[in-house]
Amino acid sequence: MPSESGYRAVCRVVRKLEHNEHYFTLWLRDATIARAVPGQFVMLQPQPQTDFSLRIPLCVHDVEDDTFAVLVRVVGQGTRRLAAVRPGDLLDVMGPLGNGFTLMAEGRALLVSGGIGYAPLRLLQRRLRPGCVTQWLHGGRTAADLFPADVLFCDEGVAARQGLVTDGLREALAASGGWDRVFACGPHAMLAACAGLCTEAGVPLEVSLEAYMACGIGVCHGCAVPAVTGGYMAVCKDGPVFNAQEVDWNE
Amino acid sequence: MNRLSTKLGRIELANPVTVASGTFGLESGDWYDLSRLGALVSKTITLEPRAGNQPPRLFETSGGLLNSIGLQNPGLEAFLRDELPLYAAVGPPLMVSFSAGTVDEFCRMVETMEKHEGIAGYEVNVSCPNVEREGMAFGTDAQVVYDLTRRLAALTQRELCVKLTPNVTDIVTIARAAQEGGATSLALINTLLGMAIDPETGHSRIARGVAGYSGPAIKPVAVACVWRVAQAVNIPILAMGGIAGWEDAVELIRAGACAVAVGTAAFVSPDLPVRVLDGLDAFLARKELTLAELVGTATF
Ligand SMILES: Cc1cc2nc3c(=O)[nH]c(=O)nc-3n(C[C@H](O)[C@H](O)[C@H](O)COP(=O)(O)OP(=O)(O)OC[C@H]3O[C@@H](n4cnc5c(N)ncnc54)[C@H](O)[C@@H]3O)c2cc1C
Ligand SMILES: Cc1cc2nc3c(=O)[nH]c(=O)nc-3n(C[C@H](O)[C@H](O)[C@H](O)COP(=O)(O)O)c2cc1C
Repeated sequence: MPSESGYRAVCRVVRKLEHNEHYFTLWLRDATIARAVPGQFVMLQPQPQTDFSLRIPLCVHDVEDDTFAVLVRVVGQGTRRLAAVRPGDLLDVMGPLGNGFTLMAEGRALLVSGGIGYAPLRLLQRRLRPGCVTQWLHGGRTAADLFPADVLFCDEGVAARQGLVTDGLREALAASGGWDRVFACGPHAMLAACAGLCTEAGVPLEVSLEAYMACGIGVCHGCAVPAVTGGYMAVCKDGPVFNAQEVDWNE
Repeated sequence: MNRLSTKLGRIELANPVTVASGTFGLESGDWYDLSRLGALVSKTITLEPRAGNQPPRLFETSGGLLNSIGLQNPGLEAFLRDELPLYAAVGPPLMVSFSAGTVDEFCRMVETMEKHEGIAGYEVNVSCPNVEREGMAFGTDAQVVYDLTRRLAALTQRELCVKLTPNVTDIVTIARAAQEGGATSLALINTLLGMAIDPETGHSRIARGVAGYSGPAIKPVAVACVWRVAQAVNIPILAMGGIAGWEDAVELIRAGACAVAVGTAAFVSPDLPVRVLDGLDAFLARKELTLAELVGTATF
């Protein structure tokens, strides 16, 4: 699936959007990485590298001409360091890595995200259109976790419905019209709930998964997720997009 | 003359730079020309397939990485069938890292591998639990290391490299035992024991609790181990532990290593092994030295 294997480049930050104190978007220039397909990720390292630190895995959030975007949630040291980056700065990026979502030419696609799970679905939505009818349900714990979507779920803020995004998924699956496929990204518990609902409804579900990752290229076997067939799959090499049926949600 | 050429026991290497078991795969070949390596080292293979440990398996700490992969591998038969031909096709000599739960099982694995072409040598991973000795790691008992090495040495004319764990009272005693048993080289160091705990919840960051600590943070430990072992044995040393640049390789070589392996730091820079190689080559040219002349030149 990745069009360029083993691609690594020092990319310039061309734009930075600070959404709130928890989230920001960086746009970086690189024509090769901008050919990423929805669902792929990059391994990003702020330059210049001084002390040892692992690269940060981030989904490709969007692309525009020869630039690509990452949407970042600040959770710890690495992402905080990234939050200090300014337009004009350089970042060392490996990618695009991993597989991607199934791109349907037509049909009805339901997108479901929670929190930072919003990141990979933006490019997916753009690529599914205009052939597909899409509906995007997004949920956040707080108003800061909300981004533009068709329906928002949050216990805070006036623009959102109360409750969980999975409540929205349940309703959408029950409504007439039907869905050909559901795409989801978010916290593990949310994805496990999505898997249960989609299995019940008999609708295929593709999920983008996260796991603590080191190499990003399939050699260290660190980013393991349990497979229904027993054993583990690697998020970086076998994913990050999986058919929900491949994943053992109970482990 | 090739100033980088070196010998690891019975095998001639075009250069001293290789990769640390478990941190390398043929996927690395997407990032640099693997045929430039002095040797290839497989991940540790066991007789039966192993699914590996429950996640989380990784945690980053200051200057290093904790891992608890649990020797995930497809098992010897699948390795020999599916991966060995691909490794052998790369070119440089291949060292197969392997491990087992009993001495007999180690021997059975060598007997099987002896029937296959394309293997230049064995890296015996003795950091795994010995099921006959209440799960105590093989590599922590000099007598066990001696017995194991002696049994294996009788089965092969290939390179027999014993990879030592630093989690022992005196690594020199273990190194001597391996040499006396018939090891033709030593690899050191495997990961240090390490653990990290979430201060809020009290949970270990790694599902299995204690894990293996690697990366730049452990380099001084590796340098000291290599230095001490090099004083005590006369077989070549393949050194690893925290190499993040060619200068680190020079340190380990000056401490007494004839060859070096790049591990954890390649997760950040996937082409690090060849950059270490190029840097080392330039260093030797500048110093007008051959690699052999650099080995063991540390002073104090
Ligand atoms: C394939 C993939 C795609 C991702 N896409 C995005 C994205 O688009 N936007 C985004 O904001 N985040 C994304 N993440 C998560 C992001 O990589 C982590 O939040 C980040 O690495 C945390 O680094 P830190 O140093 O700030 O946090 P730390 O202080 O190290 O840890 C904070 C939290 O992040 C988790 N974490 C730490 N290091 C890693 C790591 N190397 N891999 C995975 N999780 C880690 C820890 O388990 C912990 O829960 C993705 C992760 C993966 C595996
Ligand atoms: C993710 C990971 C997996 C490893 N797997 C193995 C293994 O299968 N067999 C082995 O002998 N050593 C294994 N090691 C240890 C390395 O080969 C090496 O001895 C150690 O990491 C020190 O070198 P470094 O600091 O350069 O990584 C592993 C290390 C890491 C980080």
